[in-house]
Amino acid sequence: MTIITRRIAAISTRTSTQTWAVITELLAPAGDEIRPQLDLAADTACMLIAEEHAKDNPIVITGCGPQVRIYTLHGDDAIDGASTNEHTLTLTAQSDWQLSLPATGIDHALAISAVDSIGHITIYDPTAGAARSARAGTPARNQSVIIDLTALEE
Amino acid sequence: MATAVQVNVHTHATTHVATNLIRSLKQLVVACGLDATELLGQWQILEIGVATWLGTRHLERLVLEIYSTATGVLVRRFDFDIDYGYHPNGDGDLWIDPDTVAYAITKSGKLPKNCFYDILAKNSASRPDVAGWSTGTFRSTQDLTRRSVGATVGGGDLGASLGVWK
Repeated sequence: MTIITRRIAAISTRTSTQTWAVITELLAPAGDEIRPQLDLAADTACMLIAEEHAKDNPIVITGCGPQVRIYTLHGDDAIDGASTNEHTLTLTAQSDWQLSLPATGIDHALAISAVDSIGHITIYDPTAGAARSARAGTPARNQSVIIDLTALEE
Repeated sequence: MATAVQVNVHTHATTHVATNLIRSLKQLVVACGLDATELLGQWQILEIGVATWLGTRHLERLVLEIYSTATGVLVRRFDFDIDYGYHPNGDGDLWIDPDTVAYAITKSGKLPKNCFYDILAKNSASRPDVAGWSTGTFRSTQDLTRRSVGATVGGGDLGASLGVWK
């Protein structure tokens, strides 16, 4: 599976609204068929961006060719711009395309309720898997090795 | 180049304060046990309005009014007072103190049942119009007393301080 990563400067370079506008334009320029769904989810996405949920866990879009993972940069990282990658994307949405927004805690419930009626938009809790692993009590020696592929990002 | 740096500091401070004021409103609404759906559904309108009026320096106060749905009477009010000369000689640090908001919630006490809220902005004259915002009237603060809580968010010469009516 090909994965493309983008890192978008957010607060304090951009407001959450401006940040989502940049992400939307990357994923679906005006007139693109998936644009209406992204616009419907905008308020929720902006709240999640403002709350920094996409700082460490990506907004993920699938079913458009390569999987796209979008992180938002905040504070000094957003201002100095050294880590930003806002290059344009060329995506072709299939009928089963899906955009997943990260959220935890109270925001997870809020966001799920807000996007419930919007097709193709979902909310995922990045801590859910970790919690299951913790409950399973997997011995450390059996845990998977995680390789940081950041250096290989497109 | 000094002028360019100053412009960037002001822009970043405006952005930082605008977004974090809306976050603070959400923190208040959620912690008060109110339904945040309405606020969430207006996130962009709220943020664009606040950012616009901070940028033009028209915004004087951002207000969360909590009222009884039975009587319409104001039962609690949270004011974010904007100070454009907060730290004029500061180093441009951008900061937020959510603990101040949390403290205000704790000190303001439990709300009665069946409350809802409105969000209002007090601007100085000649403010530009922002789509989604309309003119409105503040509810009477009669029988309530205002207490200052402290600074909640700021950057450069821009700051916001929280006050509570109860």
